[in-house]
Amino acid sequence: MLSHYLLSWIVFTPMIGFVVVLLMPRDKVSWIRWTTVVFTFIPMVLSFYMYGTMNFADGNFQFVEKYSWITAFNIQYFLGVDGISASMIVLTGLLGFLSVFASWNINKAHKAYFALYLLLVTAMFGVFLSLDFFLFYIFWELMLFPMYFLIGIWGGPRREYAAIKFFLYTLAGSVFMLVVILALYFNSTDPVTGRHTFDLVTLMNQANQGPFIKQFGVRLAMYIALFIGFAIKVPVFPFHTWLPDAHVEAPTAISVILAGVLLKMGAYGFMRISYPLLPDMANYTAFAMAILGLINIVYGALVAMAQTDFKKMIAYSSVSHMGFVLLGLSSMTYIGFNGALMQMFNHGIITGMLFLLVGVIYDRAHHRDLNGFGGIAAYMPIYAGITSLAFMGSLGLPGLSGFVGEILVFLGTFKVYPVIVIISATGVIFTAGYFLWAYQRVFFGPANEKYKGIAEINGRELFTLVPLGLIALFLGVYPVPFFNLVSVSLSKLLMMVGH
Amino acid sequence: MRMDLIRSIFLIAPELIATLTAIIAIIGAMLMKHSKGREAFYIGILGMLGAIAATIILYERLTLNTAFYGMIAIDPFSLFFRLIAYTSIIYVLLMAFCSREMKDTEGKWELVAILSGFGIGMSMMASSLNLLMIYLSMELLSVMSYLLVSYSRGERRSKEAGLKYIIYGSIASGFMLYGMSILFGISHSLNLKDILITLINFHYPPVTIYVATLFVLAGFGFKIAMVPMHMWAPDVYEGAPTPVTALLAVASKAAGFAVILRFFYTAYISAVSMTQYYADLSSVHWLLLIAIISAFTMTIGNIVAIPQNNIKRMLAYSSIAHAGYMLIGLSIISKDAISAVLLYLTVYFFMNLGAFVVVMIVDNSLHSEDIDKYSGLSQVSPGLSAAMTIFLFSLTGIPPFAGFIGKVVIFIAAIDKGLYWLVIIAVLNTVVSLYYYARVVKKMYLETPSGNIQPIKVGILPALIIISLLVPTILFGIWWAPLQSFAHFASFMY
Repeated sequence: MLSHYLLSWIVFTPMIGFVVVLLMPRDKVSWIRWTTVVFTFIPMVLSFYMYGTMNFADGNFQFVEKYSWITAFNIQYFLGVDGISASMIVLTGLLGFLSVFASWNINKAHKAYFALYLLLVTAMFGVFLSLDFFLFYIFWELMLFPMYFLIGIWGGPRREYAAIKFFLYTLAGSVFMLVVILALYFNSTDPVTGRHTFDLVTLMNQANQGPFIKQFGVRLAMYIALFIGFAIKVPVFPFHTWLPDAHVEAPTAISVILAGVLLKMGAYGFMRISYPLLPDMANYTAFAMAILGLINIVYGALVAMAQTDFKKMIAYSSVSHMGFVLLGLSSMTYIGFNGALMQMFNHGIITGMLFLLVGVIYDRAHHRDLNGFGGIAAYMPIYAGITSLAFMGSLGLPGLSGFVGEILVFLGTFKVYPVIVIISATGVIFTAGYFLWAYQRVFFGPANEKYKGIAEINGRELFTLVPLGLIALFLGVYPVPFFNLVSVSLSKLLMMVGH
Repeated sequence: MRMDLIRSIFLIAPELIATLTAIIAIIGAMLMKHSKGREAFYIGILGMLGAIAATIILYERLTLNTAFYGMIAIDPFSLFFRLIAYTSIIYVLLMAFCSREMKDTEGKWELVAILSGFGIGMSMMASSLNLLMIYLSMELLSVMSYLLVSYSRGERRSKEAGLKYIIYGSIASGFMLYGMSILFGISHSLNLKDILITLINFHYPPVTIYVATLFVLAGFGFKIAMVPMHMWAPDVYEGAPTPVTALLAVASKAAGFAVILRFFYTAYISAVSMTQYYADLSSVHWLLLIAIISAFTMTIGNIVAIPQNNIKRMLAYSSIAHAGYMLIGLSIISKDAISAVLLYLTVYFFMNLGAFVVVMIVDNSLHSEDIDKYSGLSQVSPGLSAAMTIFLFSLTGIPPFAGFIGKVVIFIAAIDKGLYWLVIIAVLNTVVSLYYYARVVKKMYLETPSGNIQPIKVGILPALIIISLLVPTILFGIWWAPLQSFAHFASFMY
């Protein structure tokens, strides 16, 4: 029974929570918080259950739910999961649950905050599980307005600007996707029913695509339109300018979700939609993608190095790290793909940690200026320890999961674009540079008297950080469970793009 | 002959009921001079409910039919617009119940009479198969609109708006009459079907057809605020009492689309079968003409909406932009295009009316239509702000709200016919429109109130009105299959 509707439960449990929170009296803050905890805990457990019961050897979609939704346009309610989306679902479940605890010190309009938060979680699960393009688009857009409010109401000083910038950028990206969705719809036939279809699985079969979208120019235009939609989310240079603003202004939990899950959606879009639907164009533009990946890695790292704001530095480090994903995807090799997906997962875990850590210090010091601290390690030794773990993970120290993803990306891509990999590798050095430099400025040096009485990291904060740290450590030493999950699906994807 | 007349009278039962309502209202105005006019509202609402009931009965025993010797068509298409007409009048009456601008003015009975006339004009516009009938019903609608706009007799800007509306409207009617006279001149008939036969069989120089089309379109376009006939909209929307503005934005626009669809699908396009159409005038690219006008309408509407500070003016420009989106549906010929426009009109009815109701409630308390006055509104009236947010996001076209579905259905119809460039312009416009809609949301939620903001009292009636509009706005965004099949049914024209 559960496994029949497992995916629906994962998607809509937070939605039920949304309704429950809306019905609660607004002054019962702790009720609201704990309700949110419960309604994000359930989908997390369900996502683990899904991981546990999935057949890893089967490259097809599992736990499929397929119902007709709007018959007139052959729109379906179609959910399904494979290795690629399963890894993202586990990540979303985990971060969705842990971020609730990072929202503990939200200080106004709790009810609205947690309601919107739950809506956001539903939308995120929905994006990763939809296999109907129309449904995918609905979930994709459903994320926008909760995010707008979450940044805009509970954010930092420039929140209004950041929120509307995020909203406009992402909407601009996604409306082009809508045109592509409709173009695909009208140039497709479902071999069984003979009707047009939004079914992604059917559309992935090139034989079901009509002659109009077989033309080179049309395909390229469609690929570019999809690319822009996804690239804005990733974000790929030069579409990245919304990211630092949104990250810096967003409250801690929302930064975690943004970096941990939302950025993955862009990359997931490439893997689930662009590549399988338009494989020839994916190959045709692979080199351009590699170049963009290179720019992301090096440019992101250099800009991160120039930041004095702790959060902004991490925001740009995200730009840099997502470059590895692009590079891995552009390689069209099995190792590269594995590296890219691993990198996506790791980035979610480690950058999630980093944003949580920034939140910890910001709550105490009320600023994030890297130069304004100094010697914090003396007052907060545990905090300093965990931060060093996250920093090392992010800069790719062997033994932590970040290293595994990056090395696989480089290995996979080196065969194809050796020069690009060599230049990209300098990004790793810059990354080490800014992380170590930041660590030195914040934690070492003479102890800043101003922070003498600063409180050590507390239990709630540790509770959010430790699981992530353990995962980073575990996957760094033994990444096999992850590869078991994704490898069959990735080799299937590789087959679809013709390699 | 006599049989046809008797049969015809039954077929226009909704209009007869509306006429009766108007007559009762006029008598009431004479007899009950000193009453506050509460009775007038009851009579008006009762009359309109009767008209709706009659429409539904007609729907149930419907055969495609014409009445009065082929003068008007009784088909699902016209019945659809009757429903919109009478429903919107009920909403306007309910809004007038709670509107600051209209509540205490004299002349409630007249209001009911005028609105009934408006309803008759609108349903006749949607049914006419004859140029003269089209003209007469449009004038009936227009004259009633002029009166409604200047209804707040005490207010200077209301009178000014009325005058502007009359002047612009008369010019547009003049254009339209000129275009119609050309069509009459070449076909020697006022009947749209005859015009079609003439246009197919005799090859007139394209210039003649272009001039006639443009001029007729100018008259129709005035009603839907199509660029370049949109200049009146901002001033009139701003000056008119809010319930009337809502009526103009929703019903008057729907009437305009009804008459345009009817005109082109009867006089310019021949029906191959019930579901297939064929455009015969291959030498005249009037479809492209409409497509270009559509692109300009949405772009100008959206861009000029950005700097507006008065919310009614902003909504006026937004309604121009929405006319542009709907015009996409007119620049293609298909059954799906008609039903897409009808679906869009329905969805637009709910969300736009909803936005105007909120504007009216805020205006009742704050005595201002300034967008800046919405600052921090969410802190004092969270429910109202949430409703407004949903209406505005729906107008933008963001899922999961109904406005998104309206847009998608139009885009689907357009892409089916390969009109990619127009759809791309439309989606870009969506992004532009987000900016000004979100600006209101931003004021309500992200800004703190300037000075001391009074909590806004929302009575039971306004709350019910809002809920009745909010539910479809959300519901049709998630599950619009019933709406889809209804619009599909309503797109059958005689």
